[in-house]
Amino acid sequence: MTVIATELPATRADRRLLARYLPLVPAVAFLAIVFVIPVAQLLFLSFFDNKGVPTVAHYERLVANTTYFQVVLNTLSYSAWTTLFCIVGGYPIAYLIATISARHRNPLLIWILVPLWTSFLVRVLAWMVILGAQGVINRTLLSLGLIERPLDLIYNFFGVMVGSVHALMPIAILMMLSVMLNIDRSLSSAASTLGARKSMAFWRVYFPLSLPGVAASGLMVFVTALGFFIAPQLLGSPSNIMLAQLIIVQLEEALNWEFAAALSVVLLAATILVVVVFDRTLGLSSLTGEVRAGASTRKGGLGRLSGDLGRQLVSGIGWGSVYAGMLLGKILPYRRRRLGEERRPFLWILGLIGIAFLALPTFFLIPISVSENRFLAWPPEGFTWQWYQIYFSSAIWVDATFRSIGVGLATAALSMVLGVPAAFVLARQRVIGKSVIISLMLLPMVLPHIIVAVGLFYLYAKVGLVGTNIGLIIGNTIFSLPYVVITVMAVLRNYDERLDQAAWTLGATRGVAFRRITLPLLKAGMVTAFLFAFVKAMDELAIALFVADAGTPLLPKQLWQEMSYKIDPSLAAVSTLILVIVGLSIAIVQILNSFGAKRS
Amino acid sequence: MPIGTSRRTFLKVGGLAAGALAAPTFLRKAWAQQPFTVRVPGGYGDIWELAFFKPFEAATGIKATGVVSKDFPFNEFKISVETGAYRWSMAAGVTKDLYFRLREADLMDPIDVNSPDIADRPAENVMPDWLPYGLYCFTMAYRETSFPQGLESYRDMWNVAQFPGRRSLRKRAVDAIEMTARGIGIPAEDIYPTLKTPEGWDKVFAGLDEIRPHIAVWWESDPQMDQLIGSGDLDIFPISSHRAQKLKNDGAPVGISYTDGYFTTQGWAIPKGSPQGDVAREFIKFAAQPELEAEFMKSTLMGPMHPKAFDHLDADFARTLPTYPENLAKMREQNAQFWLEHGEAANTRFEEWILRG
Repeated sequence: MTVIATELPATRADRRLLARYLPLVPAVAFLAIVFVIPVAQLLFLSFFDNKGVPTVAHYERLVANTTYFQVVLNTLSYSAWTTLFCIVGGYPIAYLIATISARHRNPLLIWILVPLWTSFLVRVLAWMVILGAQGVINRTLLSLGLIERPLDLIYNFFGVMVGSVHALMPIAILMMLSVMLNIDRSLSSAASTLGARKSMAFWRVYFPLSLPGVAASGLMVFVTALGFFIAPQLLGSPSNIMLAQLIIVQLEEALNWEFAAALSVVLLAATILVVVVFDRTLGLSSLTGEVRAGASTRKGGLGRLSGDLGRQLVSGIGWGSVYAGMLLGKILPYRRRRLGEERRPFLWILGLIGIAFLALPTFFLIPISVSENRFLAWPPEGFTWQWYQIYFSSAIWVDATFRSIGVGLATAALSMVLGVPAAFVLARQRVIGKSVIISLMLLPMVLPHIIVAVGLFYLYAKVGLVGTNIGLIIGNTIFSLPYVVITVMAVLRNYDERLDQAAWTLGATRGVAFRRITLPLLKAGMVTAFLFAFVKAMDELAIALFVADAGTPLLPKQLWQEMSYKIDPSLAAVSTLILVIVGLSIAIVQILNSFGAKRS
Repeated sequence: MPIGTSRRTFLKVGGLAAGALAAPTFLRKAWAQQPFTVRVPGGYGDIWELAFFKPFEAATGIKATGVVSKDFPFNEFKISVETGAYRWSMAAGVTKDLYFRLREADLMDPIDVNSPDIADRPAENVMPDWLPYGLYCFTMAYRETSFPQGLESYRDMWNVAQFPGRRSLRKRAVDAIEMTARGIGIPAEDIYPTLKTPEGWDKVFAGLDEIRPHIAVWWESDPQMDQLIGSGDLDIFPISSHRAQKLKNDGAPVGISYTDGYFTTQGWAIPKGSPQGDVAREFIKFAAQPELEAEFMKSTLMGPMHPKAFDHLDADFARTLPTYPENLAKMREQNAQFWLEHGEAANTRFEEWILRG
């Protein structure tokens, strides 16, 4: 199509082509200027020695030493496991939330979001309290006489998985949920009317429709996990070393920027490889909705094979659960159900276990925040408000909270402005080099943030942005943008464009149709995207430490500072307070919303 | 560089114009634009403010502000000097190994050593571009309730038969190697000569192999250790003495032994070309007063570098500090020059070793 366009002499076609690409320009230009160029300059160092002489010695070192290969394998397998657990654990929760009444939806959603509102370091500390040798679980089991010596729940693969899955599952759930909320429920009803059993209707109708959400969250979790290092570092055993950790050691301790750059190139290459493999097997089309354009015929044999396999698998599961249901129906006494009544005890149990897992560390932080014990220890002793006084007695904490919220909101707004138009084009248009552009959007998530921060510093120093709020917001947007783009794309995949066309036919202008039809329908996805961007910015430490105004208090910086000074229940108190503030503001928005909805 | 110059030019031009109208107002404004900031390491709370910044402001009228950043800020020095965009005017918490790296890369401006408070110090503790104010060490620390009779040194950590318990070791090549060398019984004075030979390295790594199955946690960050020790998760945990002492003061049952420990120092330094270099030099001279150093130690629990600082400290408290003569005699200084030369090889080998486990 583009070939034809270039051959046409008329400028109209050119203009149309331009119009198609135009919404992509701000996001791509943004990333090119503040991410690609600064980071590429740093990574270019990997081809030089420390005296500036060109060399490939750093790559030779990578190849010559099997250790690094081992770390790359470690990183990939760790990310794969994390993704698997996040999807398998998160899907029932997302499904439960998507299919219950809106009245129950919001309270459940707040619990899903809980881990996101707690700083990553505090979360890790909470897991140490729960899983440690003297932790909650071991103490309980010991006092019950079930075990004789503490179980090793931490500093091994199990500890790493708990920490990582806990951190990433909310993202997986929200991404799947934003797609599920757009699935027309009457399709499942139609299947039932046509005689499908409930489980069959689910596996053959609902599940395939929810796959774009599964694919999007799988990709997102995998790519995020590639760049993770806090959980492996603090909850894992020494052999759980990840690539990101090696990069940071080389950059900050060994001061070997050149080798750090070479390792980063490997990490980026691994990421791009993952995106390409994803595209070849599942197809980025599952994200972007190119299926109707006959993408499956363009796919290679492997792609078709895996697609067929997937369909077979899904229908197999479907039949399996149908037979299981029939068996159960024969064993259990038949109960007549009232119309519309839907009891799903199994789903509720799965969902509530998942939600309990997500909210668990917070449950334990609340009692600890009023404990008289000076350490984060279980069980709490006595009762005191003194740890809360630390927060309220210093203006810095309150100031940092509000400033971080402000920066978070600005970052989320900028990310939406840049990301939403790009997502529309990527999801709806055929664009040359789409997988390249999507890879570009994902890359900021994998690199250790310190690399981006260092690259940005050199750029900012040239233009005088060091220590400015604008610099801070731009820096945070680099990391928030991927979440916005992927979330909105996943939602658009399921959005029926004919609704827009219907509106145009009925006389609505494109603007009106967008405002009155498209936006309201995409609300859930937009809100999720905004939330992601906001939360990311609230928790971003590298940028806060490196390029923000040195004297400006920011929450992640303040928490980090407090934590490196002293680990005491005041950290639990701060986390509890942040949770309360955020919970209250969500509740107020909900109440206002429901009033507004009633009136109209 | 261009930014600094243009700003200075701008100030000059603006100053001339404004000066004619209201000189005092302008001066205050110029100050507000170029504040005096000191990079401080995380983990010491507001002690910088109390011990140094407030007295400095009271004496000179110049307000100093602390800027917290992560440990080992070599990269911050480097990018500040390379770009001319200075994150801070000068730095505290410059450890000796960092000082060696900075000196090698030529990233510092000289300090002013012409002060009686600096002249009083042993010559080996005064450098033309670095002045250490505090000493800290890595010592044997253990849970007192697990070992009421106490532990003596790293030798006991390697004696797993006699002293069972959950052990931890730092996941950092230099510290793991220093501790292991002591643990397997290499006399402190022989450690660096031993490590100059390949057989010596093999010997130390054999010592690491020996202890590996008994290490419950390879620790990486101070907060992590605070949590592990505070909750009673560990029994034997060699860490920095001031960290251990703080936990002890907070009520954790921590025992500390200085025997066979190794120490290093941290001090002040000025990045090359700092726009407030002159103020920084004044500040370092001011901060060198023994009573200020003594005040600083009350909260940080490091050892003061000025011999007379102990005159300003309570005798019982002074005994707990690492530079108290009796304690210092039990320890040796870490050889920063040796690790400057062998650090990278150590890191590489240690990484490989740890991944094999």
